Amino acid sequence: MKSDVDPNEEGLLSDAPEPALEVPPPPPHTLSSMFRVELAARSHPGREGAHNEDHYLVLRAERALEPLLTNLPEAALPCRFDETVYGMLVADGLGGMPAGETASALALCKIVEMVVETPDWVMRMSRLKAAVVKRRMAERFRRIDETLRERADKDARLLGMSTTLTVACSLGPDLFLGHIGDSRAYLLRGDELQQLTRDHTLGQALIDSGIGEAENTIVRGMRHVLTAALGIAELQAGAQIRHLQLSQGDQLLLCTDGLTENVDAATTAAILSGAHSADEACRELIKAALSVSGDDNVTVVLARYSLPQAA
Amino acid sequence: MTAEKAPSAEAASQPVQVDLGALSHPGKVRPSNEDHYLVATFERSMRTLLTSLPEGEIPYHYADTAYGLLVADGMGGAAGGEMASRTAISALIELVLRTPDWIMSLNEELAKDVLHRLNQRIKQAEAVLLEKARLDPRLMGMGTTMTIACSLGARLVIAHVGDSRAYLFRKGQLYRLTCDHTVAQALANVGAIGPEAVASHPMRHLLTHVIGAQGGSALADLNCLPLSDGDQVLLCTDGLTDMVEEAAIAQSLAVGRPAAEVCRALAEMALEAGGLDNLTVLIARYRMPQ
Repeated sequence: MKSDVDPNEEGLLSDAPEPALEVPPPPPHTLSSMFRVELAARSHPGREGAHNEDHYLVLRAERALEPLLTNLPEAALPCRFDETVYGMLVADGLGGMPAGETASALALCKIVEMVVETPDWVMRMSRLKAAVVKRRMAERFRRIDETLRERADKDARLLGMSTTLTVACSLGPDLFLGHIGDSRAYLLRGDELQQLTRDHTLGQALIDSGIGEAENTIVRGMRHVLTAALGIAELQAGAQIRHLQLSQGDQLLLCTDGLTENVDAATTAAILSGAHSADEACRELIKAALSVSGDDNVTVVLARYSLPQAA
Repeated sequence: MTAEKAPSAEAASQPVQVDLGALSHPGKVRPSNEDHYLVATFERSMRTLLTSLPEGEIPYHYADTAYGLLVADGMGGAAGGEMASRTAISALIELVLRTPDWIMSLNEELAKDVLHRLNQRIKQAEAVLLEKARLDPRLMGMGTTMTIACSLGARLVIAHVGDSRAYLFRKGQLYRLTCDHTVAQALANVGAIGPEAVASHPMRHLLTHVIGAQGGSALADLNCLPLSDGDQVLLCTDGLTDMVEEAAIAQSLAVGRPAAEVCRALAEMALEAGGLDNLTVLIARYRMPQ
């Protein structure tokens, strides 16, 4: 006597009584591993012989359940078992040599260390877990700030070392951003380039408070003066944390100010739209920045998202 | 232009090696096999794809692996038993895959969380079984035992309902990690009968705790223990232990042959002794280099 009721049929599990599942029953094909993400990154010191105090890091985290031995029939097991999360980070170090280079590298290393220490990575989204991810990101920014100051206390050469940090973490269509300083995250959606982060600079503060427009000479002069960064005790290190939804075809760009100082939004958007690959886009962006000036390090990280088609 | 990766040694939380074996057989008497089992790994990993960090600053690849072993002995009518054990395991897997945040390393606090989650999942799996039985009267009353052993690093967590069993074989000694949820065992627990009378008692197969059936008795025993180098964990249904004495099981494990081989040897012993029931045996042998 065979029953052809599928034990994985959504209806049965979603009718399960208390305790309630946090995650509402998803359609079968929204596993985060099914999102295609094309990644590229480039960094250039600028002038010949200059030190590069920018650092970048792109990571992929995965979790998977693999049945090794079983006598369950194939129909009794779900067809995909894995989830994927991408992490993209840029950091622009400040404080002269060797402090700047050390600060940006240390920030990235410290994040990896903290992630590895965390026993329960969130690799599937729910409203509750979104709050956990945001809280953890804020906490990690705080701990990097602490680490930088502790390290600087021990080594006179590192006095005053600090860094910007912009972090993007994507889990399927869920995007989390953590940001402090004047590196930036942009989203190209269709033709529109949106700036996702707000600069922690005096210039931006003047614009925000309505005192001056962006083109104003004084405002422009203040655009390099940081109001927040990791590692400097007297600055209020309040990280911006955001949660957004990605769409098909979105391009996420993280960059240091070596790009944004020299390449305007329209040019950036054009390069991102026109490039055949993420790597070509990164090369073209660096080229565009260097053609204007080699005064600063320039770093770009790009992710191009393809979402699976709905059934 | 810099786009180097940062290769360095793999960093895992604890280098545990596990040799796994599993076997299930309908036995010589029963027309079908109502036992189901699953041995699976749960892995999380992180890989550096692109970086400008100097080589050696961060691990290029990091991974954590947990091992899960489950046996389920189904009961209840012609189709019910097979359906019950299979449904319970696949419901559990579905619940695990929906869980946003797998716990991949343990301390005391986290072990409690893992056991709590297992307990909840067993209850939810029962709800699935009861609903299935409600929809199809041929499955009415179907139920299953379930014994789960899950190792994270050097710690083992056990969740258990019914009269399947988990054993630990350590330094030549066999230890039973679970208590049978049967009427005979319950009588012995309160002193109404002596412990030696359990194995031949007429109610030794009557379950006091089960997943499904009438509902409401899926009360799991939860346990956590540290593992050592050389430990062997054995899960089985009563089709093995009814036919093969614990002393003989211990002897087979003591020889130290690969897990798959020992599973076969134990199954053969059970069949030779009569094979009166479906039998399932899973073995995990742990090596933890210091």
